[in-house]
Amino acid sequence: MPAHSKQASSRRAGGKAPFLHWMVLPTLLVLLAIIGYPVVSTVYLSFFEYNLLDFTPPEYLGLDNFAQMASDRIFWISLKNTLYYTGGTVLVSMLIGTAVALLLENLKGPVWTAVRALVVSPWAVPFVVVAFLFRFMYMQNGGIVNDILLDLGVIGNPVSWLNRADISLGAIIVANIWATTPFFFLLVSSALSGIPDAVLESARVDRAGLWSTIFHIKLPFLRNPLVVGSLLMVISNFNDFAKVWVMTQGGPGYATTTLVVYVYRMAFERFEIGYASALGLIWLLLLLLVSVFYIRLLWNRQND
Amino acid sequence: MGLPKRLVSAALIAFVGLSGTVHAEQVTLKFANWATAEGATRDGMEQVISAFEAENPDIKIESESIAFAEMARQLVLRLRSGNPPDVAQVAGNDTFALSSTGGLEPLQGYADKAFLDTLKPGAYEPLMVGEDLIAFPWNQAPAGLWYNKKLMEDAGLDPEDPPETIDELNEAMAAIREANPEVIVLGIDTTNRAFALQANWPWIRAFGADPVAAGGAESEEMQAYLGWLRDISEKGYIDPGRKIGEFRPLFAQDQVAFLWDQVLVQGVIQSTNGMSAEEFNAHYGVVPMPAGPGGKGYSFEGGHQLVMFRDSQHKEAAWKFMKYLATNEAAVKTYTIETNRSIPPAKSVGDPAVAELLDTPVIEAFSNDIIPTISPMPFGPEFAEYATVIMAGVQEAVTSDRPVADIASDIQNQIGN
Amino acid sequence: MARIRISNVEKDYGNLTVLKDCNIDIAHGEFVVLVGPSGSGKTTLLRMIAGLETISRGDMMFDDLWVNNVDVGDRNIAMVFQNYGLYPHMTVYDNMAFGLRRRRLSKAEIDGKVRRIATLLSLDGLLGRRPRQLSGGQRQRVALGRAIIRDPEVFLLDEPLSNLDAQLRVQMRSEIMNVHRSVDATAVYVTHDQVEAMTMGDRIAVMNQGRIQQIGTPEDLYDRPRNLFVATFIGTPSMGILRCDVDHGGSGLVVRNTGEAIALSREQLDRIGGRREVLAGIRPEHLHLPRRDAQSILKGEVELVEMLGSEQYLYLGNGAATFTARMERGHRFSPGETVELEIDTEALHLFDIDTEEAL
Repeated sequence: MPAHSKQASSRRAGGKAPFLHWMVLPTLLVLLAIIGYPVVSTVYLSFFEYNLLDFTPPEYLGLDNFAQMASDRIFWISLKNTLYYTGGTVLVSMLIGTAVALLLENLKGPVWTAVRALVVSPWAVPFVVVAFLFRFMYMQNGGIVNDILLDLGVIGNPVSWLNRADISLGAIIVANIWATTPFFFLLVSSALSGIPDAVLESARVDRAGLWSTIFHIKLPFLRNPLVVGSLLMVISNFNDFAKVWVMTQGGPGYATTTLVVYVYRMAFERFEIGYASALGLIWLLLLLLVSVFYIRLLWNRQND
Repeated sequence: MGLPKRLVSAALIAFVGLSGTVHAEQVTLKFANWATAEGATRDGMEQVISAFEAENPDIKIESESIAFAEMARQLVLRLRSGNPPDVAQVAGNDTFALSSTGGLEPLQGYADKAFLDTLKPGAYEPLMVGEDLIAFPWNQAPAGLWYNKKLMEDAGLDPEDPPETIDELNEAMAAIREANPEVIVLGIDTTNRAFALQANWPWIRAFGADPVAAGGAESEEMQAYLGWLRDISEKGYIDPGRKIGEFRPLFAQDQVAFLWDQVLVQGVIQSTNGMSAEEFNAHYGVVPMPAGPGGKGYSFEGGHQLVMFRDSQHKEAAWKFMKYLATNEAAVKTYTIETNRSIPPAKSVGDPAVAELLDTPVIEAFSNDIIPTISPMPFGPEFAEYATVIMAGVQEAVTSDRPVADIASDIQNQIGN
Repeated sequence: MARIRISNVEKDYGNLTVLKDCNIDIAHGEFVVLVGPSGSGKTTLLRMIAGLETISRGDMMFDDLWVNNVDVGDRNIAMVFQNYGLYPHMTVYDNMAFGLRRRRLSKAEIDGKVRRIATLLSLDGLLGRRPRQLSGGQRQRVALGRAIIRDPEVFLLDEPLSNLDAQLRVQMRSEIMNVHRSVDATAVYVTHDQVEAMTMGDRIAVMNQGRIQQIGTPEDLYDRPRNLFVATFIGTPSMGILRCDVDHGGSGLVVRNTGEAIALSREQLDRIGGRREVLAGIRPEHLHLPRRDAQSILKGEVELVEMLGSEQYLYLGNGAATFTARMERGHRFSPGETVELEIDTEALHLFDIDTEEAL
């Protein structure tokens, strides 16, 4: 008797599920159209010579676009810049955000609540505003960065932060770090508050000092959130166009041209859609690689 | 069908029929422009459009506001998708980029020789590609060397005798710097944009350089130009990285001594500091670029042109509109002169009120002395890339210590001519 | 081993005083159990001994050393938490070694100690595992091991067995007792289970509402409860309580609502003094089937019969109160049946009706 009713109920459950699958279909179709079609189109175009200003039919090139990319000096520069921009931002933001979160962790009271709000506030600023903010701060004459550094005696003459090829990338990375640190601060703060009290108290009983507690006890709890968080930030910084464009337009020369900026200029200033698609494809593949790496990192931990 | 349904269908037919008749009479022109997208020029532009529509009740103008930076992109994409406007406002390299697509209607069929002869010399010639007139000049806005008479006086210079050669300019700049350590001595755009190359091309030519010609980028002349920039930068005469528009308010407040900028500066200054025309002319002046080592100074055309698209269904009406905008004296007065602070391409005007507006020292200087020095520009699909490469070199010259020869050599390698 | 003296200790949370007037003197090597319902303050008191909570008023002495402000790590205590508090990212070995490494013992020393304790607690094969790979009982033992390896003067255990199933609980209870005997340390153990308290403790402190109600050996508490709370808390099934009027003329009590008479001894009446009413408490084993000439009869309706194999418990009600009787298994009782039982009046517990203190 019990076996029979079990079969019956699972049949009923099986009957429900396919219907639910159909419910997802409209969303899938929309996603396919919005994401799938451009991706497929990009892959397709990447094999052609296709300039928007040229009304003759696009010419099939096979893999020539990719061969050109391999010897394209600016492509490699943009790749390098992207790595510095993304890596530099995520690493430093993560370090600073974690450090500040650990510092402010146990401090209570209205003063510290205000401090926390202040630390988080850059996150609330729209990124275009951040870009303009820093553009004005970095101006050679009249920018506040130079004013303060001159007053403090750190520099003797005003520095052209955004116009010198050697320091412009660093300057925009600093701006990006300012905007990204609050994310890691929030992430780490909430992860820290999730650590069971008993574990922390055991550490106290075990006479673990400040550094031991942070290093051996707290950091392991931060590993997974930081992995996820940094993946998110790596992807979003990889794609960061607005900040770079507003501050330097990828200049001077190509000093701050990241892959995104390069694709944009190629596609919308030079109208070379074919080559830009090839660049875009490589960009997509790079991001997929990064994601796969991260997901494996997470998966392995979970199955540990 | 029941009675109500019959009434409804009858009404529908009547409506369609009526609108059909209206359609047969009226033409709608799509006019893509940034004049109505920018606060300073919107009212003037709309006024002119309304005036045209009043005079031509059978033509309706549908104004499409598109930001200046977006114009080329939008037009190319719309050409691609088969729905370009009828007429568009264009400028700089965009005009030639569009022309290279083959999507523009050549205008020599509409603007005959007699008509073209009514324009100033040098007004339409740069817009010829082979036999085709690809665009019609609308607002002319070349650049000249503006100077602040008061700052010159303070530095012991004669305000009625501005520099005529670059050497004289160097001396004048030194004097000003010594008298006044705070001001920006020479306001010049050194950003990364295509416009910056347009603005600096005359200076490059003044030194006799042609970086896009074969081997031209690493030539001695080019190095001389870059060397001059480095020199004035090291002496602190310039403010790198500022866009041209950012100097204008400072110029209005006596914080810039010399300014390489277009004819519209007068309008901007007067609206910033409220000066009258007399006060302005007493305080500021403009001359052509001082002559370079080659013996000549140049200028560039920073104004706007009008183009017509091949796909337009109403070419006659479109030409009517374009001609009105560029040469109708009321339109010229309202928009070209008063709103856009630029110069009309016509040689002379009949309306005394308009003629009076054009009879100022500044406009005379531009019309007579500066426009003839407008230099041709390496416009084309490569222009954006030239701009990136050359301006990168300029920025490097202006902000680093790297030997000028190396910088020039880099430019040469990247341009590859 | 350490002697712990807690004098007049009190604890405030903001405006609320959650622990009042706590006094205990724990001798070297004693196993003291703090028992009470949730919210009684027992865990708070334990944490104050550990140093994890501050002491608002009063003194805490370890061996004549005033330790109120001494930091947790310096008190030479070890604590076993209710959720074990194991370091989830470390192996069992590292969990136990962690504290020793903080104290900079040599690798060889640490290894020796860890392995010894592991053997003691049958954890040998598990040293390489992580806590999430262990069962509840195994985790419990690791937590114990971690505590033992510190070689503390005082062991503090906060309801360590409440997350385990009944059988495991019994097993672990005896393991803990064994360990306590072998390491010879002072132990303070917190639990809400009075059976656990009675079986494990040398002495028990019963707590309720932030106060220590009574401290004593299990027998003390069972036979001589100081107030109604301790009387009803200790002992399973619990003592039955009857409201009675004092019949001074007739030398006894009259049960409210039923009017049944209970005869009292002279000594008991003396204790009652001039009171008009009292509460009478009867342990289950002090009710039995009436003998001949039985006086003090209690009538009740059987609500539940609990057959325990060797004996049975009858849960009875008389309309105003409920009480339990322990019966031998011979007789058969059924719910709804009315039963008459005789009271062993000498064993009766008497309480003042207002203060609830024992008389």
